[in-house]
Amino acid sequence: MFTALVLTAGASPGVSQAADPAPVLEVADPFIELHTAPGRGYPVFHVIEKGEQVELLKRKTNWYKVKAVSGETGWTKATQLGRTLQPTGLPADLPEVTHGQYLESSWRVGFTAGMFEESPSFSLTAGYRPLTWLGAELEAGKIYNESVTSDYYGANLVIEPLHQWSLTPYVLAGYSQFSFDARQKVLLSELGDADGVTFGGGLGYYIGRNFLIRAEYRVYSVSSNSDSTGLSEWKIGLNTFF
Amino acid sequence: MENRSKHLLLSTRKPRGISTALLTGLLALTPMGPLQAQEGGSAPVQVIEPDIEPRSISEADIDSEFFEVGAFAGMLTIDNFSSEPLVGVSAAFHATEDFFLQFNYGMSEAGLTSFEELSGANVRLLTDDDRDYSYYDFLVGYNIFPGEIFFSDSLTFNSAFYLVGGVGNTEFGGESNFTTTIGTGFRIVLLDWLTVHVDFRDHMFNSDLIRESQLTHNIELSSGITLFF
Repeated sequence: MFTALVLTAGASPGVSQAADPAPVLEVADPFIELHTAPGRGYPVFHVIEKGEQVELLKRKTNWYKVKAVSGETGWTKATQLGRTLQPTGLPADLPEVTHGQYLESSWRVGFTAGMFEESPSFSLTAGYRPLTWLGAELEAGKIYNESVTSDYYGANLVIEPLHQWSLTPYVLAGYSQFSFDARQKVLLSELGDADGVTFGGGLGYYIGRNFLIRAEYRVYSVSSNSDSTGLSEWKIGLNTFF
Repeated sequence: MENRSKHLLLSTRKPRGISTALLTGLLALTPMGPLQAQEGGSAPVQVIEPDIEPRSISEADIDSEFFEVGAFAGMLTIDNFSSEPLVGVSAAFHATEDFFLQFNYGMSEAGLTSFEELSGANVRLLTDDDRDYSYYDFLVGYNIFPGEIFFSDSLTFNSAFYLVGGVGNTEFGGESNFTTTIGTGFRIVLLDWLTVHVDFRDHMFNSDLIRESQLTHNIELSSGITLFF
């Protein structure tokens, strides 16, 4: 019951997905293995041979739940199923699993942890990449100084033109706004806001189909009360995208 | 890239149920092709345009389960204070079979320190409001030991033992504190969309609430259920 509901909710407008039969594919590898659950550690209990048909039921991480003609239902790895044929004889256009296409039109969310000068910081990020080499990112974070806690919000442009290596370099430029909250209210009563521009760069590394680790260095030029200070930050970010 | 452009060229706007139904018809027609070609030496070949279009599979056709939301409850041992009930909500995104990202929000309320207990009712280090303890964190998780558990001969569930670690914020004593969290957990997948888990976590932050600034360890033991969708 629950699955049926989710199917309808996930359907694109105008297409009644629940009424659709499950996609059927023909196995092109010598065989594909069916595991009892979506994970490489789970036992293989059945194989489907080349030429047989499988029905695609659902997807969980990088595994697909499939049903054999003989009725067995099990999980098979996306890379194996990527080499299957459609009823038309064409290779199935399953979601790609190659590195370069990670970078296309993806929404991504993640978090970072780092050191802003001497103070620990973390932030939550959400980004969208309309072009393979250019993306935009919104960020909200906190910096914990010994005497002051700061909330900050920022927007960054991320430029990532080189995709041929497994480590992907990028540069970013952005704008951030800081507000401060004194830890000991008696010592510092009123603290103004500040804003600044950011320049930075880093390296991204893709694990699996939609998991990205980023290491980043940034410099901020923060101005408050007509005063400008240069600050730097190191951070590690974890992102998923879809 | 070739696949992608093929996909665009070949993709259909027609209702898909029809095409699958007609496919059987097409398969029945295929052997007639060579037959016609053989006898038609000079006669004009009549090309029958099949009334179906090839169908390709896109991600949207497949029900995917990446997201998990849930609620948990347990005990939180607040360093220097007492052990108190804890409730919270969580959300996770499973990126691969190994890794996931998780967000947690939990709240509790600290009791009395030993000093306050011993000193009687008129000694209080914190106001009641400042005793509210709440946290949120962003954790990365790794399924270290995936496996199966056997309740009985016929009842088997998939399970995983996982490690989590990450950062977040703790509001306690009227202060925000940068918090590092590490922990372990055990998850049993009861149904494709329903899991139950037990977690052990250490929320660490520097606090100077009671004495000189020191790293406090706040131990959480909790259990909850999550729904996949």
